[in-house]
Amino acid sequence: MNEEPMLKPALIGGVLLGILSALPVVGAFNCICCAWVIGGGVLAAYLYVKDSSVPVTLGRGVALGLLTAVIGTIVFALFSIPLYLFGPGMSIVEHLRQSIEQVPNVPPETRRMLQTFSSRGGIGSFIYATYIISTLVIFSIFGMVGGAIGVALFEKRKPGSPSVEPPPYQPPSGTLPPPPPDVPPAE
Amino acid sequence: MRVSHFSSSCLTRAILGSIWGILCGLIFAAPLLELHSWRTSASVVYLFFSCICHQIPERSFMISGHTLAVCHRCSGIYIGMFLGSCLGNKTIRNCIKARRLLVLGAVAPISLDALGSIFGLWTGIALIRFFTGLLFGILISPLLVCAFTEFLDEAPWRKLIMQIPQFKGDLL
Repeated sequence: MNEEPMLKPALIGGVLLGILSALPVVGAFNCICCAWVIGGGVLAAYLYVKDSSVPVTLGRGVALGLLTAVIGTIVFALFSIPLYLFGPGMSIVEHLRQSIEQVPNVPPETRRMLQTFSSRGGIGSFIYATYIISTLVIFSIFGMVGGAIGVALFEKRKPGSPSVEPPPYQPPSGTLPPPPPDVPPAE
Repeated sequence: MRVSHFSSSCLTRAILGSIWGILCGLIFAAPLLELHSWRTSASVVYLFFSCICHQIPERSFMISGHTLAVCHRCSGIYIGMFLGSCLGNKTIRNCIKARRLLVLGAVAPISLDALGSIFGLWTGIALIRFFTGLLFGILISPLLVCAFTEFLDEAPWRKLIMQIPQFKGDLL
């Protein structure tokens, strides 16, 4: 199995996808089938394939995408908290309330119930935690898809074939044993 | 090991097929729930899909005046993923070139259509959006089955299971 370090490409892809997803306007691109998440997975796969000395399997791409998505979710959560706390007059609860408002045909009683929930501080945090957990699940699925797509696109070597040329044979240094004595061929 | 790979491939196919099937069911369930006055349940489904789709009514299919939980393109993707999970993936596993062509063939039409719409080159027709999504799903799904099979085969927990004598015989 390929044991190249996965952390560096996953960190690069994850940080990028987390920041881009947390930004107010740019993050809306995630509405197109989680474009940033798939993009982060593809980027991580590209970096990993580029640095890997052995062919990368699709399964490795899935694992890499999963790691990228987890890092991306952490970065997204870390970035979204200050953005919504100190952003232009919109708290986390406000943001969630706005998300609920955007959903079509929500019955008034459900809307009222959600607004009552979100107006309480503790429950607002609970809703935020639920939101982050569901983000983790969605990011993980699309991150794995991105990792697999990235490996399929950028890996040109056949799995199982060594990509690095083996070093040329060098005889052991030091004194060589004497050659065997000439034996006349038996007739 | 051949038998083991075959069984994990079937398992992955079954798991992914079920996941895509459930998602397709939920997409159609949302308007049907609303139609039968289960509005709170419908709202939960709409809210879940709102994270990954814009849900613009003009860009979504309708059932008796109620929109599906996702747009035309996403509907195509999920249905395509479900249909594609039933297809074979032997060529993808063995041929690197076919794999890359498959990904390019899946990504190019949907990207062109989406980017053209974003930059205002064309407005796009619902059926084109749906069919580019469907093509993407059908072509990418076998790749995902192959990728997840390899992921399950390479996963660290498999090594641990293989060390247990009673599983050793079953898996090999």
